[in-house]
Amino acid sequence: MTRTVIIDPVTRIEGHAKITLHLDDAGHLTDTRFHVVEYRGFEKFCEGRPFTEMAGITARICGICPVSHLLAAAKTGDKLLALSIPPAADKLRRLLNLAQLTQSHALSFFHLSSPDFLLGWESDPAKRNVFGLMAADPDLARAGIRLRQFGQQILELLGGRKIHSAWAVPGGVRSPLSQEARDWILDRLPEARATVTLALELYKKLLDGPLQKEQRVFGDFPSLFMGLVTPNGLWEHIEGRIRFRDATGAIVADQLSEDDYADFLGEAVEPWSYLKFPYYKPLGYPDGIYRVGPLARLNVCDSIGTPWADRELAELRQRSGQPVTSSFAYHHARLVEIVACLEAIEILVADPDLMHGRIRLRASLNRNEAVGVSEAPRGTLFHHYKVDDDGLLTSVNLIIATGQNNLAMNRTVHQIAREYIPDPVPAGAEIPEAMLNRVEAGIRCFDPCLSCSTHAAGQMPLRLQLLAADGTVLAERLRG
Amino acid sequence: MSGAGVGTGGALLIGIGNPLRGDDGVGWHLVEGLGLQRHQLTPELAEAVAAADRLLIVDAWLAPPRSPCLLRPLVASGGWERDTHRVAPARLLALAEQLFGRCVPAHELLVPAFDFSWGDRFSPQLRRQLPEARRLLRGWLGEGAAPYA
Repeated sequence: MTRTVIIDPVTRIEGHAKITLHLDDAGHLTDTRFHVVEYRGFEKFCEGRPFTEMAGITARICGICPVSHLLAAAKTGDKLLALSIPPAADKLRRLLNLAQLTQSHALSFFHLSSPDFLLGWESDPAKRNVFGLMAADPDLARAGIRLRQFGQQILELLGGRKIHSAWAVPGGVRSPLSQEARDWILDRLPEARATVTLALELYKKLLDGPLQKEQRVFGDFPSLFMGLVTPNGLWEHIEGRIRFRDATGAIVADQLSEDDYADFLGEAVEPWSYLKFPYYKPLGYPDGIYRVGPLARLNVCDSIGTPWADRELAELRQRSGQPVTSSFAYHHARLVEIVACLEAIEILVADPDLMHGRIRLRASLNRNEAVGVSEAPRGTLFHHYKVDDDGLLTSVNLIIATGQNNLAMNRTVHQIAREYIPDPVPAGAEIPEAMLNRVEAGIRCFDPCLSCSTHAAGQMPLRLQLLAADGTVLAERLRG
Repeated sequence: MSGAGVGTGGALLIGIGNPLRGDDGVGWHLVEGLGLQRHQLTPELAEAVAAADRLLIVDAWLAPPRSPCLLRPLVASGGWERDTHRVAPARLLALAEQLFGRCVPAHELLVPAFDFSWGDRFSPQLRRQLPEARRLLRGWLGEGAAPYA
């Protein structure tokens, strides 16, 4: 009799999911599936709304990364108006996205993932969370909280609120950065730099010690990587063009326009998940598996372009390869990207353009179709709108970062399960909690946001089940 | 500009809820202009709590029938929570003490709520509770400190 292990709900991720491990009659692992079980339908109910509302509407998809949707929607709106926003608005949007990347990465590292690293995979699951971390290492927890607060506060200083701000609009932004806000950012930057220095030192020690195996078995496989780069191949997060690099380091495609995404991206569906399975079209499905997000951005770029971040990128590549193929390295990549963000923020707030000049242009509708793109914390985000002559939406397509990592997340879960689940699984055997946690942790490498990727209301839990061939639940573990 | 939030003479008020879900927005409504408005409590608020002299959390309450508005003391508690970027009021107090060394006197003002459907209007039942909620809020703030008419 074949059996299936199901993890449902998956914990410490943004959204609701379950994992099933399928066993054959002899107890051997035959298949693993990461199921996303929510559906929300933003693409459909946005139809009929004015495109100018999309920044405000799509920001509501998620409470964690509303800024990403805000910026993608505003950029798509810029193109419908057929205008180029003023330099000050461009730099203010950049500052917003850098703050968003910082706060989201800090949340992922300090709140969601570091409890596994620092408290141990076998530690009490009731304490293996940010609150347990606070008890075990209050200094680190406090620093992590304040780093996230630094990013969030910049969002509030710019947009008037930490989440769901409608500050970026087609044509620019609504308000400038005040001198007081600029001074606050400059005042807090040294502490933010010190915190990420501390986190990097700590994480590298763990990589040299207890996390060596995780680096090897948590989703280490060849795939393509996709992300934005500047025209000269530097790390980019809001403008730029799309680059694909393969696992050998070869650039497969470069300087692609988001306008042509349908030519190089396909979206497959599977009956057991609401999360689509995007793939690189020239290689087909599922061979066109690609990864996005912090690790992909660092893999596709030639360099970051700021000194400290480039030193950290060089060390990441020296430790883990070039390109880095282990999904576990997403954690390290997030810390490197925080460094890149802090350096870029420091440069931006010293830029006189940021504080002067026009911040918004106005125009009538000049196009009926546009695609906007930006780098969300979890990867490349596309918004594609078609509008009628009154600017009312007739079609909306959102391609979300987490969805683009769907194939990779499934492959990661499979690899971890193969490593840690006994083969064969003895009949009636209990699956140790720590082993299940590692399977979940494979998902957490990608920091998936299921609220965004299914456009679904966020519920956090994860369920794991062991199923027989006939679908009978043989074992189940539920968190939350 | 500390990022720690705003207080009222050392008192920190936090209204929690969703202003687009009917009665759930009563916390935001009552602290308007007085304190912080948040969809949920997060660990990041612990620093602001520790920096305050006292804390009041205002929230909608799915109360038993005919329950009055409730102003009650909050006691710090370090119990386990599944969700890691949303904390209960008692947990927030505990975090303030654990991470920033101060456990401040705290209360929560709970307003019975009846309708959580989409919209920014309060139900008639909740509107009838507002005078009492404001009276309790004024009492907590102290005479002369509250801007409510």
